[in-house]
Amino acid sequence: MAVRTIEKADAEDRRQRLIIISLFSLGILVLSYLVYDYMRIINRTTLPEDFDAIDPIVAQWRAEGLVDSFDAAQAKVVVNEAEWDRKDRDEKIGIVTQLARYCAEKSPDRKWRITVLGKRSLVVLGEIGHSGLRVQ
Amino acid sequence: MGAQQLLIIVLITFVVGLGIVTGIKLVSSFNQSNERDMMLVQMGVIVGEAKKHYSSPKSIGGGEGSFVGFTPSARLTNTDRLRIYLDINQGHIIFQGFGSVEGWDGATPVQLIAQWDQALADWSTITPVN
Repeated sequence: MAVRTIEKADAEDRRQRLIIISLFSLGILVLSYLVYDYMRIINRTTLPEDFDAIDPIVAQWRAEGLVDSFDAAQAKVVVNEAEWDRKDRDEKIGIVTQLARYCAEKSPDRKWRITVLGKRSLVVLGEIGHSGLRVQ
Repeated sequence: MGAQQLLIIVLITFVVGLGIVTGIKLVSSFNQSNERDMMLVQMGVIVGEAKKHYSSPKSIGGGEGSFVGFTPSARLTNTDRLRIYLDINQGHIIFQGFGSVEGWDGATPVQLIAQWDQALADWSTITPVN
């Protein structure tokens, strides 16, 4: 039977503690990255490519209070400013473009047009028009 | 086996598991980024074709200072992996491209929106939406 001295046992104990601390730190680091990645994408709004899915999503937004009214024929959306401002710029550009393309499908000239207006301020918050894509 | 050694085994299993998940996420993120780059390159090719139309005289079917009337060929806008939609205007073109891999939301494909502005002779907007 091998004999372990107290010094050797202490050294082994320290080594194992160091391994545990390192693994624990690494685990926390990787877990933080995964949580950060998840937080970045959670609640991200992206409209699907399929036009059939647009109406249910707009109806859901209306129920949630983001959209007050949506008139595809007039290419006009009235939104709640506070809810709209919660979206980041990329999301807003995605919403404006996809709704403009959706409205174009319903219009005879097939041009992408949309105006996003604030419900209270009536300020243009985003649009695709003659001057191109513009989102505040 | 001591408690410390048992803890080491548990931690190693945990870290390896997290490593695998992170690896999968990184590969997926690389694929998304690759597809967005590919989309932008394809949009650039379409812009090149549109510019030929823009600078050609009307007598030969060009736009003579306008993109209006330009129609890209379907092989440019619809490939195996990409679908690109365009809104062509006098001095600018708005592009909306969809890829084939899932984007950040994990539900809809990668999406990129860009606007080419001829007055700037450059992209005025390049937005990775998903």
